[in-house]
Amino acid sequence: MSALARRLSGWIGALPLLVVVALFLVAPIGVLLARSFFAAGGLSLGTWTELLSSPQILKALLTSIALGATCALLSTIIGTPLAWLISRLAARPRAAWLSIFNVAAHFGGIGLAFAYVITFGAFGMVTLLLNDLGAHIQTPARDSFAALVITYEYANVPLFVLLALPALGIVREEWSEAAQVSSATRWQFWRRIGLPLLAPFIAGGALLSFTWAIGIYGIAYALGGASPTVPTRLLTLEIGRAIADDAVTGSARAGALSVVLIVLALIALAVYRLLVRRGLRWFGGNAPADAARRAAVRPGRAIAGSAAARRGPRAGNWLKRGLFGAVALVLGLPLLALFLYSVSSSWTDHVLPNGYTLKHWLTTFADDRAASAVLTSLSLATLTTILTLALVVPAVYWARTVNPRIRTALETAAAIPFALPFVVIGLALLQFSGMVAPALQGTYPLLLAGYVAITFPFVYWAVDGAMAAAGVERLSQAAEACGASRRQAIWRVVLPNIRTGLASGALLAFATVIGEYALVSVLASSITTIPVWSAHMLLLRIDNPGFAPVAVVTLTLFGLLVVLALVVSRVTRGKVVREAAWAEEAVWPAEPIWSDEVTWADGAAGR
Amino acid sequence: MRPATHVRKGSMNSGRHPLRCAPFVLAVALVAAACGGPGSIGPGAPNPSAAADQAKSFATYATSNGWGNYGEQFTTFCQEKFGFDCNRPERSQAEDILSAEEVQKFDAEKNNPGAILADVGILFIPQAEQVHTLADYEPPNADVLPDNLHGPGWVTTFVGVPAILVNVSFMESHGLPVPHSWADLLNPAYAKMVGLSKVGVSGSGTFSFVAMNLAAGGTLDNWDPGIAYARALVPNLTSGASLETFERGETPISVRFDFNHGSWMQQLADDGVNAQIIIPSEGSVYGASTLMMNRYDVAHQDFGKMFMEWVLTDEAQAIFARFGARPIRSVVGDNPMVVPQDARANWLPNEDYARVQNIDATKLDPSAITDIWENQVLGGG
Repeated sequence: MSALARRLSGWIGALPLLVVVALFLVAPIGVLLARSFFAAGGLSLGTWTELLSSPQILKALLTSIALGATCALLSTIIGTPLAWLISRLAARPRAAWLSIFNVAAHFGGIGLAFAYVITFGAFGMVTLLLNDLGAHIQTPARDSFAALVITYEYANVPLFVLLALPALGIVREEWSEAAQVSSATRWQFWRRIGLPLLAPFIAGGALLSFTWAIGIYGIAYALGGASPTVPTRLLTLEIGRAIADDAVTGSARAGALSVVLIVLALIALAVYRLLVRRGLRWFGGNAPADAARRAAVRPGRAIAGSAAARRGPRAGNWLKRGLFGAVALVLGLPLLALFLYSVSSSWTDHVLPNGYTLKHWLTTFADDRAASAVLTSLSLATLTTILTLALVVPAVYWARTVNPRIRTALETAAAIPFALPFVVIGLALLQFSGMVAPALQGTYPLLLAGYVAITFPFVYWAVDGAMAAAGVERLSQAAEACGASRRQAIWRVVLPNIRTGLASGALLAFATVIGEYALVSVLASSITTIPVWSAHMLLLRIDNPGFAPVAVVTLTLFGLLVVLALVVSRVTRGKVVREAAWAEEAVWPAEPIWSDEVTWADGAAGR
Repeated sequence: MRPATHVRKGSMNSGRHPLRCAPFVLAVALVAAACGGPGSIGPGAPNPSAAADQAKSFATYATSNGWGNYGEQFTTFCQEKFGFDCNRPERSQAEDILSAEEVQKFDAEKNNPGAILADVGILFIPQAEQVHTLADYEPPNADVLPDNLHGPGWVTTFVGVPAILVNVSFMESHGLPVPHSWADLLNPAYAKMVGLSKVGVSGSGTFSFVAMNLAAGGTLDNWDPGIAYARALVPNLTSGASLETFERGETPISVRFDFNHGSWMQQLADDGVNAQIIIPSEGSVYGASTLMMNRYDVAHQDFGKMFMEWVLTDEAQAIFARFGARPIRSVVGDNPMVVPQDARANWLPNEDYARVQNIDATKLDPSAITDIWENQVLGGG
């Protein structure tokens, strides 16, 4: 056996994934960065000086930062107490709330924007209700800053809760009891012990919310993309405009704007890591792997249901019920509006539609375009899921059993889709494919490859977590000791043991693709997926037959996500998808965003 | 049989299947296959029998069945030339994209052209020329048009006039006056009620801004009056109306080409909405729509060439007229075409058009207009 073959064998299982990631993620981003500094012939800052001297671009930069900060702040204020209450619920209601938040965090994008319009828009359900009550309140126009904040929060608060939950688990009930024994009040406990411990992680969650919010493209485009006045200028929107509107110089401008976004995201990520490291100093310098192993063998029962149950009925309980009720109401309103819209014949005057009809449900899918959009989205999402799983599973297996260096490579690459907006990744792929493989531009295979590249981290962390929990190293050693080949070990021993990770990883990939707008609109404008179709219906179709078909498709998509979440929870034997990650709560500080719990949320659609 | 010691050093497992590297090979092959530049369409005359074949698979952008009666155009054209209907549903792609996006799309897709023809505002022809996406073919009958209304790869088809459509029912029920002029639109009571397409990017939005500028006393070289007017208008502006938002009253005032509004009137009447199309009292301008041919869609060039010639025929021009648009040959030249009476049924009264001007659109640069709009109107100076 030659030295080369020996060396290759250490990488072979991960090679397909590494090649895909290198070609469709790492290289394009690298080229994008390089190109923004090099104009024809040499190092040039021309595009930069032009950009930074444009008042509109500066405004976009500031507005993006302000929007991200506002969203992060609101998410923290609303999300922290909510996450705390949920973390103290008994297992069943906690699982129920987590499922709701998972779907909510993923139900972003064009559908969410549409829901804002018909709930809080000028003729939205809530606006009409207020009118009926005699309060003629002007709700925020759909392209205003306030409208964006409200819409973003629908996905951002659930996201924050999912991000913060594992960290809240580090506050042990014993500590609060110890404090009580030392006759500290509840307030004193939080003031002196609880909050100082949690602060770095809460701040970390806020930073991730910020990064998420500045990277959103789909929602912002659906709400304000067709506006002639662009009252709310955002970096992502400017990138989209440059790409779509300007054939002559748009590409260079979009590239430079993308670099600005990349820098913002990198700063946020660096601060985040710093915070988490700071937060961790109380917990000893455990290596991530150690933490994972410990967590895996000691399921996180420590906090479940304890405090609330023991404290008994108090004013706090009543308050808590009120809070959960309010959350359910707020989350339910857009769903109700969507449903009513989908069965209304017309809806202009009062809180309820003028008349009802089932015709939209019967005719929407008979429409060629709607039906083909649904089919395209389903096929893209399914293919992406299958391909990503097929690439990731052997890669993670190799990383864990053969060559730990694979891990470093993959984890570095996996940070890209987390940190960078999809519209930036889309642009990078567009430019890179134009350079090396123009024949691929605008094609389904390129889009598919792009989707594999952006969904691989979600699947990677889900599968990796499951393999850690299952102790794959020992399993495969044992299997091989019993005479199994590596292939047998994978199929018969490893795969059945990581079912949970496979199921939740698949769900993540599927849900990310089916709601994704930025990548497809930048990369393959001729491929009409559900979000592309919805956006066209909402924004551009001047002779459109009404928005009811969008309501029908949006609800269908929502239903599909709920059903999938249920199916996945079945596959994982009645445990909620979350449970696996929940057990890893102690890992979170060590392995930041990467528990599958968090990735599910961070994959939130609509970016 | 492998030893049971652990595998960290990467010892080769003899049982590995060679297909494991298939994805890698595939990726390399994909990249390798992607060589070779695109071909382009030359000036030669079309071959009718090839065109008949191509009629079964061509696609077009921004030419929905409802827009400019393009559905009827393709049906009639193919029936006459080839004896079958080529207006398949897949024929019409990217129906709603804006003019600037069409040029961008032709350019971006040069290796996989998605369409042979597209309807595009005349303002965007210079951009298309600059990025070199137009075919080198010009139909022989294009000479009937003045020089600035045709060129290699494009011909003007019909004209629209930026006009104001008002949901009169909504205005009445909300106690608001009906606007009759550009100046009326500045009424603060219309906050966020005036729908306009993106200026500098869409044909209708850009021509509307041109019309506003001229109405305010500007010229094609002096934009200051238009800038002052538009700044005052900004608080009233919102995204371009769709039939739905117009009817609901969300955007009860819509500034768009007259023919667009014309195509809505029947539906509005059916739904019991009283609406009125107004050519502003200060006047408006003719904004030309053109048909452009994609340089790179060589596979459909014969069909494209024949259709480019078709749109300037009497029959095709009458089909545009039936949609409510004024066909280009009826408004220009020494000997304008007389549109048959029956094709003029959807037209607004002729006297309204006395105050509509012909402008030389080739003098206008949409990116310059975008700059003006972005930096001087929205940027607030």
